[in-house]
Amino acid sequence: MAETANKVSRRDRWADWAVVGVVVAALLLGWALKVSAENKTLSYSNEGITVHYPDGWLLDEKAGYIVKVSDPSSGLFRTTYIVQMEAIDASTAETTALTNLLNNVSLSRAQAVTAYKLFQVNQVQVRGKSAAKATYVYVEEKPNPFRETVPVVVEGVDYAFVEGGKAYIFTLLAAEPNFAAAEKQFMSFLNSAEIR
Amino acid sequence: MEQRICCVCHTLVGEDARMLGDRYYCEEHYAKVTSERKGIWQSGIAEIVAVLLFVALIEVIISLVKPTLTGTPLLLTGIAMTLIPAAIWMVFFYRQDRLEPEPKVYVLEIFLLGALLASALGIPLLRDIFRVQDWLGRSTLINVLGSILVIGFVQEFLKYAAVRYSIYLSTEFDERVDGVVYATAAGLGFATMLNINYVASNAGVDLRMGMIRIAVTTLAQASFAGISGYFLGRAKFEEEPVWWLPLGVTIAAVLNGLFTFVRGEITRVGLTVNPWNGLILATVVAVLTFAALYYLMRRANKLTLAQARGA
Repeated sequence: MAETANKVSRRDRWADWAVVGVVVAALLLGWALKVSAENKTLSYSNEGITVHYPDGWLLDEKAGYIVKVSDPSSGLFRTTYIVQMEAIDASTAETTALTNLLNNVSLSRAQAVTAYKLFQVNQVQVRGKSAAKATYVYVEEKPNPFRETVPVVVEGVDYAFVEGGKAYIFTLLAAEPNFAAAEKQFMSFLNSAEIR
Repeated sequence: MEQRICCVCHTLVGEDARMLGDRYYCEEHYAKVTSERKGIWQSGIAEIVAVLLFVALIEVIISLVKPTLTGTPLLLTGIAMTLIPAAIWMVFFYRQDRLEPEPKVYVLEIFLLGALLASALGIPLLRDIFRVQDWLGRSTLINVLGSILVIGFVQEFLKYAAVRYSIYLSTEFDERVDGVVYATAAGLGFATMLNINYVASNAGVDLRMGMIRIAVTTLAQASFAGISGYFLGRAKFEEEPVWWLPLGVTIAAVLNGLFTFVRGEITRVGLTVNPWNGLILATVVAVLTFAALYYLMRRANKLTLAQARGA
């Protein structure tokens, strides 16, 4: 690099710090904008449930579920939330019925997707009540129907619980690298749902 | 007694030393500071024309040859295309700048510094920290503000820093117009790395779309960097107020952000993409920016010379 004549006046130094200050202020505002954009939600009501899903996500009303929303900016496989209502066996204990429900959903899914692997079904607490949780993985062979792409490993989780006398399953599907980040946002989606 | 030293080379100057604002100059650097270096502006315009001609050439070649490259040859062709706009500028710049050439190695160093800053900070900050791809498209207002506050300020600050914290303090930065020269070099390096990243992350690109995108990125990044460079050039040789440099970076960032937003809007036509609109926009922006910088630099030099005559 060239010979440096490193003599800077006090005004120049202040100008330097002023540039840094303006840039830091702009980036802090930008970060606040990011947080506000990511936390902004839209509401959708169907069959007695109102959910608040992230703004910018796509709502699929024709998918045959109570709710199905997906993130168009999440890459080859869109991060997806699904809410469905299922009948459960009223003659068995609630925890057993929920576990059986997720096992049945799992069997159906295993027939519909490639390389499906159910990790585990266990009991957890969501929305202040006991629920069944299933975690699994599968391969989405053709994530984009309009062009040839490599398959995507999809990680999923189902939460099943009974509320208002009905059983609900909340599902999160995301490409494996995105799953951990998506799960946190999904839990606030699940917890903020209003069920009448 | 106050020591009078030249603000460029920091040698002692006499009682009758020349001044601009309240800065002293030795005779050599006072003569240089108002140099107009028309070759620099000519190479800027030649760069714009040559990049457009290169896009046209690629278009003709694709139409005639209809190449079917895939895999590694496609990737290598894409990366080679990313280097061409910077190479064109270097060639024109040195052909036009024969009388008072900037040391080639310094211009190249600033170019590489711009590229390194893009790779080490610019791309990771925008893609992995701010994750602009995830939230910028949520609404028009968010898109405009996010493009300015995040993309504009990150990119323009890094290009500014490539010049301000390297060559700016050296004795080689001895003319106002050097700010534009070195900042343009930083902008070209920054653009080249953005383009390489784009080609590599897509494992090669469609040659027609890729070439247009490379041309657009190059013209835009070089133009906005030129704005910061103008403010740097004035700040080094005149006693500008404290807000002068922040104003320069802010103007560059605002224009960069608005360009990013408008380009996104005009290249999307329904569900399809028309990249030619982006190229037209980038060309207009580049021509207007260089014309404005040329006018402002000439005006500053005229004022200085008038001031000198008055004294």
